[in-house]
Amino acid sequence: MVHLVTSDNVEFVVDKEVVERSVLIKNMLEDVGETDQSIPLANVSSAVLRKVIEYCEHHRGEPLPSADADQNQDETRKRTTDISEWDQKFITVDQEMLFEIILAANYLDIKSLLDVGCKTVANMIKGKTPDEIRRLFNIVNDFTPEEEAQIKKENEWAEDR
Amino acid sequence: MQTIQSNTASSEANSHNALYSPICRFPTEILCQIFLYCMPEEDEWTLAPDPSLAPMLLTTICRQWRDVAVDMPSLWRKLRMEVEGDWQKKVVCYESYLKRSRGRQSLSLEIHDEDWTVPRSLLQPYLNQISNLAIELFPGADFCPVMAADFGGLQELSIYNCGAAGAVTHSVAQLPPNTHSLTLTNVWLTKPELSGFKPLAWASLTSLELMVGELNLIPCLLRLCPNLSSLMMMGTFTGEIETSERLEHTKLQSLCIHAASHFNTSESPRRFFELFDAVTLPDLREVEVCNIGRWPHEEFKELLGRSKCPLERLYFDGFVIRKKEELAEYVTLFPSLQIAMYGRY
Repeated sequence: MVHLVTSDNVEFVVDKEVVERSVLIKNMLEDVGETDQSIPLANVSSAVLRKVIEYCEHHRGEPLPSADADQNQDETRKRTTDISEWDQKFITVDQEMLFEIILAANYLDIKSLLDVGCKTVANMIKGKTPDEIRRLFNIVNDFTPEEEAQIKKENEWAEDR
Repeated sequence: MQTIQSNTASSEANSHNALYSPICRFPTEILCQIFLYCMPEEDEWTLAPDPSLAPMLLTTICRQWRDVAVDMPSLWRKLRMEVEGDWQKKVVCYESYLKRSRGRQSLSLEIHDEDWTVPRSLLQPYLNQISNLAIELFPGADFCPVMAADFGGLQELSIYNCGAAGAVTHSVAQLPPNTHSLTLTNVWLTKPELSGFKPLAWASLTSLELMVGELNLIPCLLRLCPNLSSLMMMGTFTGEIETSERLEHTKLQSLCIHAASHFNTSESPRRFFELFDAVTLPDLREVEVCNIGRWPHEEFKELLGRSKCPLERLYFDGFVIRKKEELAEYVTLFPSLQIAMYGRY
């Protein structure tokens, strides 16, 4: 079993096979060997780690994606935003939690969870207008008038079609 | 745009966004991942640039997103250009794709008229960066104004001709030295046209897909493409092979012949046996035939014996008349041979 301590000082005791879906923790364990010492996760809160562990438990034993395969996928851009039914239910959380899960997956290096999070955000973006996207994510339109003019120039012919 | 990206106002505005929007606190690598997933899926690539879709959409949200998207060449590597109408407005958008892709561009050209002057000058600085080119020639275009030879870095070329017959022959008369794949759809080349090509014009091709009217064109094609490993032909395959000398092609591994489905043996039987007589193919591994009528078993068997090739797969589809005993003979010759039959005969 592996002991993890979150940013809000909550300790989790997790099966090694489950926690090793995180490449960061797997490498740490390989470096330090068998230990009873807790691993501090300063960037992850207990609420988020609970969700991350839920994900890792569900996907226990599945092969980890290789870095090469991912690189190829980026290159060929044959990416799909399909998400499995379980993952979809799992990731149906409020926006703040979704972003925290993505940040945690990135920090802990859990590629498949990061993908689920990024796909979810991408699916939220697709089909929306710039204004709707800004409202959805609370983004301020910070373009200067010159930049707005440039964007308009790039887009105007397509808008006229 | 670029002139003001580095000023103080920019960093203030970005930090303003970061303060209010949790998504803007994502590190760039996460935003990049999200942006990749925002791209239209493969079959939507037939679309011309569209401000309501990624990547253009991503450049219109805020400065941070624009900077990240503009700095991701992979978002800009597929561009469909419509060669018609008012070019002045389109040029800005097309140019932004070409610049941001920083090479290895897949370009799809939709050609409605022959005025190539403006598009050519736009593409001029990027000609060597375009690795994949797809040309669709629309009705109304009497000839294709694009010359494949102009694209020095071209690896794959496909042309779909809905324009006049013979409209693209001159476009493919000389291919750049690294072009390995050529697909010609609805382009019917003739033997005199092919004979007019320079001997090494298609020497770099390893994969060729095209329409064939006359059977006699095939030896001509094999001579023109000495490095071809895959040849896929569709067509009518009329006439006969006029060659006194047998041709040896040492690289061809896959030969696929799809005859027109309305083929009827009682009218003018195709003389595929002449093709098998006319060539020696020492590296032949895969043969696929469809609708060719009577299967020239004896000639094919002789070709195999003469070529001493490592045949692995034999596919029959549609109307191909063959006997079970003939297939058994092939298995005797090649015990691990895979034979697949999809037709009714």
